[in-house]
Amino acid sequence: MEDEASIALNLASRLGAEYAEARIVWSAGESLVLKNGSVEAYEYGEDCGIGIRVVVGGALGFASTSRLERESLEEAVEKALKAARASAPYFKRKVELAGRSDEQCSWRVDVKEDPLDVSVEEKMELLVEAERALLSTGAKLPSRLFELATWKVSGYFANTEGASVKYEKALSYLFYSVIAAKPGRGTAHRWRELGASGGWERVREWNVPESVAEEARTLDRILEEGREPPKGVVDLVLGSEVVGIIVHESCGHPSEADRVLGREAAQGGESFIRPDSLGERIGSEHVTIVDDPTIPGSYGYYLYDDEGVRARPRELYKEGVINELLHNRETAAVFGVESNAAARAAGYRYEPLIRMANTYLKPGDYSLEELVEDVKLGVYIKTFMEWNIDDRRWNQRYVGLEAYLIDRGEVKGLVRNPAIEVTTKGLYSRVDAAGRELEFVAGTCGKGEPAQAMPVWMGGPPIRVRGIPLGVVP
Amino acid sequence: MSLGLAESILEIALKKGADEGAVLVRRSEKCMLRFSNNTLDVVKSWISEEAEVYLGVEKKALVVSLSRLDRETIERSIERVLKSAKYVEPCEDYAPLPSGEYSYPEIPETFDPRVAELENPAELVEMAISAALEEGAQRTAGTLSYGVEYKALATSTGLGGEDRGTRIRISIRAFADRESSGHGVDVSRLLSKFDPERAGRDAGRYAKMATNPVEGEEGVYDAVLSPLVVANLLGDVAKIGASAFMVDAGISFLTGKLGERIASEILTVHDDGRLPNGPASTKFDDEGIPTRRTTIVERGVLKNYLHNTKTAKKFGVESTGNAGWIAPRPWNIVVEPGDYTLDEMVAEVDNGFLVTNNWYTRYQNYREGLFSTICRDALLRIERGEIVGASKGLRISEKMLRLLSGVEGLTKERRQVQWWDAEVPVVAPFMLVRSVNFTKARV
Repeated sequence: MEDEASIALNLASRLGAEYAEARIVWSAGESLVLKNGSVEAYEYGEDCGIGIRVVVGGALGFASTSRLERESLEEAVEKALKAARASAPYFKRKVELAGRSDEQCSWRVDVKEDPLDVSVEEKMELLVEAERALLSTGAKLPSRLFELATWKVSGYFANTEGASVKYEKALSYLFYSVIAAKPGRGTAHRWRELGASGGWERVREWNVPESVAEEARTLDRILEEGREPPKGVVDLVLGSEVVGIIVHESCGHPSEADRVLGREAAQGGESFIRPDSLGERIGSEHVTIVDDPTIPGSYGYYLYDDEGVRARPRELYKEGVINELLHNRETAAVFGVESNAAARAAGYRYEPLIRMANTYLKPGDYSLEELVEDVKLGVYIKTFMEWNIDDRRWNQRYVGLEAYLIDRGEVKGLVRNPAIEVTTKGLYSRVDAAGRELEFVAGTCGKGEPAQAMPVWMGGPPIRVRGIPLGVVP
Repeated sequence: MSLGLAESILEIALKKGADEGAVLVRRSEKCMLRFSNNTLDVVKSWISEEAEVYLGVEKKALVVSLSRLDRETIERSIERVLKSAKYVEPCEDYAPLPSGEYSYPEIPETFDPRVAELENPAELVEMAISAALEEGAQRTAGTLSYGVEYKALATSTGLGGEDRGTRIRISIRAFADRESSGHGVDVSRLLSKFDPERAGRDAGRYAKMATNPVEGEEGVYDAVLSPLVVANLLGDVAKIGASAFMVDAGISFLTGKLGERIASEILTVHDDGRLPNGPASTKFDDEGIPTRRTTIVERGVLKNYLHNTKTAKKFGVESTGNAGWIAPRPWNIVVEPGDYTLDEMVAEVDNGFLVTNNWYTRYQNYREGLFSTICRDALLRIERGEIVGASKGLRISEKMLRLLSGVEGLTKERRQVQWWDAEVPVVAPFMLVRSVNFTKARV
């Protein structure tokens, strides 16, 4: 990898690049799809190539190729430089990169059981067992779909400032979709992702058959017992999974500095946060939200970003105040700060963009029982299905799946499809307590054009939110 | 050249023990210019060569994807997959690859050397930006992307061949102020039919019309949906609803509805793999079946799902030429036009909105088609047949089939739409839908 990177960087320098970087990424992975008990496909893939970025005349150029022989590398470098140079007059704001990226190091994810050495037989068995566990519940489940994927990635980053960063990681991912049906009661749909970095040992920890069977039983109960949620303004206790999606959407995304600058306006949108918003209050003192790439075993794990900058936790909202944005070197230069290592690319084919890693709300000191006992009338929303948020990350909606009535401090029966539609400030301002149990869920975050799917974790403890108007999906 | 490579990979696969196989090789050169705040941000280019290999072994479907195409990598990867195959259980619905005598006539308007060798793409971006600013916008953002792709398919049943295509696409969002925006798109296979200026004008005009928005009120309204919105929603109808894979999985909201009325009788929707100038048009699918036009909805009745050979066998029908080895996929979705002009359509609305764009369509339950989607960019208030101002803060919360049943009008004019949040290309008119449920954040 070093040789190819060196060829690319030397040529870029010779051809007049003010800055150049090369990222070579090799990945290999396999996946299995099980649909209603039948194996639809077994897939194996290998992908390798180089992504090159150059700055010339203040213009930023990117090129990638899946061919690594000298001729192709040179063609890619020339393409990147030629396109950037030709377009330079149209760059009304010249690109600058903050600081220097010159670390020489390597990092790796600890792996006990190499996920690509684990036999397909064992992976197959896991899915078949999960299918059996679903069917053993006795619930009517007309739709059951699993996808299990494991892959390894090796990468090398180098630039003309002297950086040289090598890494190796392994990731595992499970997606499942289960639909339960009951005559006269319709259907209920659960869709879930599990993901982690590390070896196959992480997949074992998921206890997949037990976990999906429990989900199926819950779906069945939702259909059997679910009643209409209370109307009007109520208090809410939101489970970790719901808190996770909330902090991802209404804290992580609006804190991306490229959005704040309008650079993602035509795709994922902009942000309610303005360049001068740091220090403004957005929520109660119970709202501290952190994005931390360095959590061992996490799905969004990395120690150096794709610009060679060392990763660290970022406190985006601190005790209810907008505290820090997510930066790459380019936005950091605009804001006059240092990059906090948020540049991630989904592979060599993609330019690094500002991305979240593992975003969570910091725990408080309440137990779930303590959160609930002080609620007169409310709903505990443990899981969700539908969600969305506007492109400034202000007006958002979450519809509960597993959700319970809270009546005079006690969790009672299931309620069906409670819907909350709130503004970011409306929601965070009403948080009056956070639980102490921190949990994460995995997600695949989409951003950029072409869209880049990025593994992330999101989470938090259960939280209590006062005085939210509750709707219901018919 | 690519066909030779596909055939040699196929030969390796069969020699190593596959019962049957198909190999798809794609070579492409693509570029993209991204801009925001009226200036370029980055210029990107891609040179790519990839192979996908389908192997059928003892009724098991195996797929290998490779971007490094040296013999050692190809042989090692195929060996690995064939070795692992013994642990994979046979697929209950396995169907052999199709065979037969097929021809693949050229599709008009799918290749333009001027797109492949585009000179001064930044000038096209400038053209779109200037048009938006002339209409009253203050700033713009978006992408111009273009390129050429060659594909070659070889199957062990003797099907396949070569195809090539060019594409050029612009997506531009314009802002008149922080909260007032509009979006315009254009996509074409030919430079002569590509109009970045019009996309810029659409975006700028809507941005200007969206100024001084007031908070919308929750309720049930009539809605005029723009081609961008129609593309987003009908893309889901094709991709999720009409996919025989999703139907068979029990996830689709069109499960069990073949032959039933699922939409207003004025709605007719096709999938067309041979649409001249269609962004996804291609001569053959991944199994070597010639692509064709398949009617999904005819006068409101669900006529067909989209199939590959495997789903077709299970449903007892012929493949519709939409493979995907594992799951079928739509090509170009075409909505038949109506008689309305946009002005006439707006005049029909007593109390409602013109929704010019949407995004973030998400489902509470795919099988029931229960979803919401956010109104994005200009959301224009219509009262007594006239646009009276702009609104903000609303989302559409609906059931897909209820929404489709409420369609009461379609315009004569249609646009070919494809953008970041509507990846399935759709030829879409404006659509008048009665009694649409709008909700909003209340705190």
